Amino acid sequence: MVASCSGRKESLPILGRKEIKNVTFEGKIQADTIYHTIRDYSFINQYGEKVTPETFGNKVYVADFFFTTCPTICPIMKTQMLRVYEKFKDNPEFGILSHTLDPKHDSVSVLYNFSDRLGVTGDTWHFVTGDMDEIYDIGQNSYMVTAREDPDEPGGILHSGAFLLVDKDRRIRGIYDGTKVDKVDQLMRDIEILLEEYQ
Amino acid sequence: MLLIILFSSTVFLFSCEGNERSSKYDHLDQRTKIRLRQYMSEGKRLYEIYCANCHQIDGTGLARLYPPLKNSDYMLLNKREVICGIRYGQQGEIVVNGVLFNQPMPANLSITDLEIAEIATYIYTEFADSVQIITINDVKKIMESCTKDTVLVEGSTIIKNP
Repeated sequence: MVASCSGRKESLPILGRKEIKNVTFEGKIQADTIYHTIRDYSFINQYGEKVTPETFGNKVYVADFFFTTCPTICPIMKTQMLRVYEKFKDNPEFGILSHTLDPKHDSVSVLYNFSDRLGVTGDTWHFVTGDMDEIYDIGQNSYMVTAREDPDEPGGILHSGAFLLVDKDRRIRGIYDGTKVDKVDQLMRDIEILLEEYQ
Repeated sequence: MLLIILFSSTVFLFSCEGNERSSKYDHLDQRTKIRLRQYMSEGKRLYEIYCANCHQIDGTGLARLYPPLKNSDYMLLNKREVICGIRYGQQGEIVVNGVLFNQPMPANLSITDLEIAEIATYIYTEFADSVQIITINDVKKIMESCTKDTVLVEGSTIIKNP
């Protein structure tokens, strides 16, 4: 009993709304489950390079939303994401995608300076800017996180502190509060479980 | 009987705490010690609300992004700027322990003189090893001398002197 439990591989749920679709397979009509996936996107990272789903083609990655001048939760999120980065930065199958919610201010050079000061080098952690509507849309509709401009909020933008774990097939496998040490510990355990799925 | 045991153990615990802290505070008279402890406990609570997001709970800062307060030479040399900055924010390059920092610190105009006094007492006593009460009167005097280059960070813009 104990042996069978420990022998079973842990796996993470696939999150988001599922659709059941009828597809024709080898001449027969079958029901197929279509999972929620992250849509196509094109952003620019801190080195001025284009970042698309291909950038993360063979990677599991963690996504979040922030802005460099955010006085509230972002510093905590970045402190926590730095722990994730330090742990997995040498794994070629791992990446991080941090979207700015303030692309007007957070240009490529601002993002480069910010990432450099955090001590981030190489191509594991992408800090991206781009079209404001596209960033907010992908946040709300693909990553399912809240983000909106709010003049009453310190910094002017209200947003969630969530970290999203995404697999190599662009499906969300976990949502974690990026401001809580124990939730980020859980994320780091889940990244290992997810990487194990592809071994 | 039980009450007596509870009571005596309470006394014992208090006296332990007193002894433990006496090393840092023992040059102070009893009244100042009590007052300092009040400032420290309130200062810690406020520090964790207003400052620790960036400077971290333990005051070590974050990489080259947010400067440390712990053992910071800048804090000892620039007490006025530090205390003004708690209310009016700060902008531009500063060098802390030989490292250049340049991230704007947002203002907090609603913070009171007493709250600033408590935060300042906490950070100087806890992180700069400079045990002292920074009083409301000290803060009032310093506030009159601030350049009031208020730094408000609002979304995409950093507003100076709004």
